[in-house]
Amino acid sequence: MKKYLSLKSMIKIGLLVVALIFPLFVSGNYVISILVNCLFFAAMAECWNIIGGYGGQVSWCHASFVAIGAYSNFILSNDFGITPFLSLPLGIGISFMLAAVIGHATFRLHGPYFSVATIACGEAVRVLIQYFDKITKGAAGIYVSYKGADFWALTFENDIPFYYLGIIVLLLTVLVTYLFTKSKTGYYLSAIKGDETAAESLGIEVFKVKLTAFQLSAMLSSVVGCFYASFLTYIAPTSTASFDLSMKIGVVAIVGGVASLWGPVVGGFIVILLIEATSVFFGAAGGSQMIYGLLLIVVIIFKPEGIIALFRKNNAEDSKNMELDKKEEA
Amino acid sequence: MGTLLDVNDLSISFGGIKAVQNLNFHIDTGEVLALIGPNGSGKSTTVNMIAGIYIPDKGIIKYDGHVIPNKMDIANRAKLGIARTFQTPRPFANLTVYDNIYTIALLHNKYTEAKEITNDILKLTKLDNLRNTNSGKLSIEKRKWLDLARTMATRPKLIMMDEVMAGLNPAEMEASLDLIRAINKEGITVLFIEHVMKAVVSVCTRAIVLNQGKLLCEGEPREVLNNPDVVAAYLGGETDVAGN
Ligand SMILES: Nc1ncnc2c1ncn2[C@@H]1O[C@H](COP(=O)(O)OP(=O)(O)OP(=O)(O)O)[C@@H](O)[C@H]1O
Ligand SMILES: [Mg+2]
Repeated sequence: MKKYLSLKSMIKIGLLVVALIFPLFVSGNYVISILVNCLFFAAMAECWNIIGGYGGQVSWCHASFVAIGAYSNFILSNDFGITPFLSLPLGIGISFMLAAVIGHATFRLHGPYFSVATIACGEAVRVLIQYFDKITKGAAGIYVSYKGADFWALTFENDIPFYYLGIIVLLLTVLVTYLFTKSKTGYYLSAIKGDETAAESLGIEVFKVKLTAFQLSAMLSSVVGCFYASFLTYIAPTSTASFDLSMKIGVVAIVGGVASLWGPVVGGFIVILLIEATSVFFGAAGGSQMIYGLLLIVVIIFKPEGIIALFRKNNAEDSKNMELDKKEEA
Repeated sequence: MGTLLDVNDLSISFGGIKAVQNLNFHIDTGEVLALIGPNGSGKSTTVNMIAGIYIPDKGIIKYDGHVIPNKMDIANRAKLGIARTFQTPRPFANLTVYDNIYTIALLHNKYTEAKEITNDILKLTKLDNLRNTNSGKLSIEKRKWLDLARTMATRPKLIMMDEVMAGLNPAEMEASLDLIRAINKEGITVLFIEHVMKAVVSVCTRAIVLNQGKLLCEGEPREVLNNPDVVAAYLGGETDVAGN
């Protein structure tokens, strides 16, 4: 049995191959740019999943960390000519510290109280970015300075490079999340999600575990934010650090399926494609909010485990079949 | 053998209810001490104060020769070897039976050792056949066993068992008593809260009785159960004190 790949991994590899050659078959930038959005939102939702899904700590301030990565990138590259790749440590460092501050302020709270507190924190970060306008250009936002296609500046003539970058970033977030769930802290976090009091009385240091997971989630979000900003070419507090973005990230994860490795990936494609489709019909404004709301309601009522659960049924059958195979072998 | 736990003048009230009043008792290292008393007499509250879930209004808890400060948090008490089950069990309902135990075993062991320890505990507690079951789907009795199994992964010196036998049939009860003896044989001290007096008599070396938050009496289990004050305290309750 072991010599052969399981059906599941064969499907995954197949999808990856299709994804990799897909740009060869599309002309124009429009479709690719939508897919890049899907990939980056899937990646952001995967980061969110670490604390929001596996930890059950539903945070609504992840745009703050995306913004930190984005601003680190643009400020360093515009003002100092430093490649975005070298802005990563800065974004990661600031996110690590900001997550510590927000964590200390909010992790004593539980459930909806925690969530509301994170909204306040996210808004505070947005206001701060706006306030320090000497560095951040305030509400006006920052454009990346385009000096022709340049890999190290992450400026390209079309979005195909970002498409591949998006795939790499997404796979990175999936890999980090996977490794985290197999780590001791990952196990402790799941236990805390299950029952915080029980976890504590068995010796798990609840606060420390939550904070570590939150910081990991924040640092990874800033990495995604850095590359996403280069794709956007323009960032501003009201978009990149907004509650709207925080909400979108969380909704993508919840709709796709929380505490599931591939749930946010499924969510990224479904939610973003739906928003795109509806904006074609209804015009851009307001349509997306309606979609979040509707999707959340539908998913929470009919499939609280997220859309990924629709695929899981087949997996269960797979493993049943595999058991049968084993018996036949024996 | 020395004293593992020494409780001195412990009191707590909730609003007007004096749940525990001026309670004094001790547990010797290696013994199985029964903590009995009618419903609402303060047994679970006592466990919750020792475990750090409730902070007493008054009194001193000494464990392993050291005073446990009120502000010591729950997790740190657990790390000292104080373990407990919950009267209403609290499984990590999002995890399998195996992962419930494995997660706690990871606290004190490397990954591979934790695996072995988890398998040992599963076998010992006879939860082995349920290892891949989602713990949220277990029956209440099995959940209680899982609670107990998890405490065994904490390297406990003291396990406080809050009615772990409720709902078991006589055969299961016999097996459970064997398990508790086995746990005790490994050197783990047990505080045993139970309404089924047969179980108390069979497994405990000593018993203390609470009534309305106060210590009523203490001594050898059979003697204690025949004490007229204890019989009177239980009268009207559904519990069969004589153990028939
Ligand atoms: N958190 C709380 N808030 C208010 N009252 C409480 C609280 N916990 C316990 N009590 C009260 O304290 C008293 C003792 O309760 P406790 O649960 O310790 O009894 P018990 O001996 O464990 O009873 P049982 O055999 O029914 O489990 C009861 O009157 C109970 O209502
Ligand atoms: Mg009780």
